[in-house]
Amino acid sequence: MCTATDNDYEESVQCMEEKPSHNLVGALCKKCGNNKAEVVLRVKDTYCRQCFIDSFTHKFRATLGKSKMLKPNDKIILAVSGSPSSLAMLQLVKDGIEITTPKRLQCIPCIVYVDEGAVLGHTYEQRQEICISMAKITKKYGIPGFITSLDRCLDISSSHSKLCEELHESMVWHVNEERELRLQSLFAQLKSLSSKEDLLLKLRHKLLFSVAEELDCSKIFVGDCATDLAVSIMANLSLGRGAQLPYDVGFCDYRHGKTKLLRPMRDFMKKEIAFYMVFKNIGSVSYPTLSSKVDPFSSIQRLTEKFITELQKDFPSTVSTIFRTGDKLTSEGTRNVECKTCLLCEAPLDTSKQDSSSMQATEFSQLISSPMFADVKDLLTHSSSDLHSNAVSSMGDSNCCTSNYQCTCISQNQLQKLDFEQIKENLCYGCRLIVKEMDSLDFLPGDITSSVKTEIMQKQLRKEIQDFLL
Amino acid sequence: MPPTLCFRNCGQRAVLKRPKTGDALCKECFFSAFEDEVHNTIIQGNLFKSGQLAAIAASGGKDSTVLAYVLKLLNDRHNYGLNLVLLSIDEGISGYRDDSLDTVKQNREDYGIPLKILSYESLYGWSMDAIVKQIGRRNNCTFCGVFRRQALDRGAALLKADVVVTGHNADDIAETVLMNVLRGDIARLQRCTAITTAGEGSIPRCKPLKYTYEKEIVMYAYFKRLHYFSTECIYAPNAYRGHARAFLKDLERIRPSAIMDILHSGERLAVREGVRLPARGVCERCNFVSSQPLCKACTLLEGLNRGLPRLGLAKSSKAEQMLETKKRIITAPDF
Amino acid sequence: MSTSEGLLRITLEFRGGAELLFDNVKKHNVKLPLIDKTWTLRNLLLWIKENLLKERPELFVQGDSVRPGILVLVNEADWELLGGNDYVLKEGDTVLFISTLHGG
Repeated sequence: MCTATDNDYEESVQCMEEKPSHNLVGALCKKCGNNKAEVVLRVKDTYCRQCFIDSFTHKFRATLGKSKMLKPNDKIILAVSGSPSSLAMLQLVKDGIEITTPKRLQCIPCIVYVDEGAVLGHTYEQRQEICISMAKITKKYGIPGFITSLDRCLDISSSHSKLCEELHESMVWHVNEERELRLQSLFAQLKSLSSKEDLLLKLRHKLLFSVAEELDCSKIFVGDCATDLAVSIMANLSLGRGAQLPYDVGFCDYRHGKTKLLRPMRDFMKKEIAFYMVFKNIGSVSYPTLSSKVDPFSSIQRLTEKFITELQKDFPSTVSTIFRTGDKLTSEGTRNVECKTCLLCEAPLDTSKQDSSSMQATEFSQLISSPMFADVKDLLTHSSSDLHSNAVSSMGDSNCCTSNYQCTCISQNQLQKLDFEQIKENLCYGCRLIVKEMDSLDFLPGDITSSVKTEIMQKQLRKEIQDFLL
Repeated sequence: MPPTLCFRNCGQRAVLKRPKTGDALCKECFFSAFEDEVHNTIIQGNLFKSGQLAAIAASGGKDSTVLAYVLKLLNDRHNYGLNLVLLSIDEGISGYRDDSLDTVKQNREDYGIPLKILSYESLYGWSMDAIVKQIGRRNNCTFCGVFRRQALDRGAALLKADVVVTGHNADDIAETVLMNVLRGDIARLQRCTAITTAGEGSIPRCKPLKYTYEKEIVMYAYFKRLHYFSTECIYAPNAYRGHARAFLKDLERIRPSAIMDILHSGERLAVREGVRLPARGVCERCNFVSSQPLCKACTLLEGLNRGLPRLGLAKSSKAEQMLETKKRIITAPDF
Repeated sequence: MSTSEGLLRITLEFRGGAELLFDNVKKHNVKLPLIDKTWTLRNLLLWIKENLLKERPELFVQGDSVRPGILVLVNEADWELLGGNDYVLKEGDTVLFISTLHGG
């Protein structure tokens, strides 16, 4: 059969143009026309070392300048993981604040490193070593540096202890074993690597926002580059996070209101960053991650990366086209200020009921092929005589005690254990996919579980006193 | 090992695992779940009104064969009050379409639904075989796709149909979401997940199989022993879409809900204010919806008829250039 | 040839996580036998696959080239400027492989 569908045909777009072949052997720099080229960008643009570094630096300042987000003396966190992109960002910021021309970057940066070793399976020695490497970097750049660890996101609100401590070369990194065990249990429950990767990112951001508050910083710079973001766009679509794309891949993630997460590296391709690091002789700190040495088919994110990277090889404008598409999107939440936000990722909820929707269809599928099918079927038959009645639309609604399906009503003494149905309404579609894989919700960050418990308690109380309310 | 019992507790032995939910079901429960889901989609999406004439776009392939079968069945079962008609487009591809049309004719007999066949030849004066002879294999899918889209509209108008029903399934739509991002087609990205598309002046189209997995359609056809035509078109489809299809299949393998998750993403996307979208007007020649003064089909046709087959394929500025050059060549003095 | 024992001495470096596939060793000084063939990058890749790669060859080599997403630099210059796979290695060359893929 014809496998193409309707919308396929008009305006064959440039990204579908295959890579032309150019003979670039011995080419000169296209910018200065003098020196021998050392790197090729965008298929045929050749640069010598100096012209490349100049245009790289210029692009970074242009991205920041254009955004008009940075105010003089803004305190910013540079989230440095040790990756090439994060270290290139550090170098660029350092160069930016040191120049004396009016183009000077007027901000007060500090470095924050998030130790994710407990989840990534690093040994204590490895973690200590990375910690020292980070301390050395901090010293080299003369920018204050802090270390925090992912487990601290588990009890942000309850802990009065500090979230991060200052990095120095002779430090001994201490871990909180009890909390790390909880963190590991949280991840161990997730059945898929896709969810693990997704959760790790959400928790990392959650922690960074809290650290920003503690350090009194109004901006967080992360090192996501264009290649990363193109992969994120496609992967997030597949993870059901389409509605959140503006936050997850845009220049500014404004979901937290006053603290903003910025992506100043977003106009660079991975290749540019790699060459910048080589030409500037900056070494990166590399360590195994969740996706090291894994099969590309083991997670949605890895598969997407493989897909985009291979496509980019044959169709060189793939990344930039995806990237530009992502830039043109907005989120439901920006229009509706009242919109509730997800407890886990804090993006506006994208789960409002719509008559015909993928969400409704999925809920229907799950019920219709389960032992509960008869109840659903009844609803369907009743509505069938009239095509306009939407009798089935109430389906899957977890209105406590009013539906025929599993009653989610709970009394106070049961409040110790939360289940998925109870927390579901407070999560966005994408986070539901993660949390659904968990057998127990007890390991989730404390502020999340306590907030759900409070809400349930309130509902319960309200119900008890309902008859007496005027 | 005892046989797995049907998850719906009907007591029967399960014979399949639903690709969409992973539940083990017996044959009868699978049929019933499959049909109820399509019914649910129709009711939730308000797809039809009683008394309407619905033209089913029938190609003879699995999607449209299952669509025709299920729609007929649900129309009888739930008294939708629809009048159904099969509408087939004959692109004029020998060894492919003539065979698949036999399948559609069989559907007409089996389901007792009248059939209307319209050919490219009669609509445009060109069959696909003739077009390929003229332009070669590259881009021929563009011609075919653009012409088919209009042919369906024209056929439906001829039949005085109220609505056109197409067999697009969940996989098709998820793939289209991905394709539109890959191509940077923001306007289509926004509307490709709509269950009913209504263009000005043209007849609305709807997709009752929007939430149905391709794998389940194949399973349904297999267990129901429905006959469909499964040969690939002899003119190969474009490579770029092939990549997206393979990617989607791999995603489904990793996480079966990925298809529905992409649909969810697509449904909740919104275009930022201030992004320029092509204005939708009508073609000055044929009155069909178009963002340009001349619609794509008319431009392509113009190119074919004037011996400039690449005309409609180039960007509009380039197209003007080509026309200019051609004019100059024609008007140049003959030495 | 400037080589004494019919050997070509070059340096191989792996970064960006690519080193994880080579026992976490970033720098390798290797000697390639010069037996009636010139050493192109294409041949070198095959040699690496046979002799140096410790695990998961598919994460490094794909077909007769490096896996897309791994950059190749010869003496700190983009291999695309040197003819890619067809570049003929010279004594003392440093070939750097940088993985830009997540996790290396």
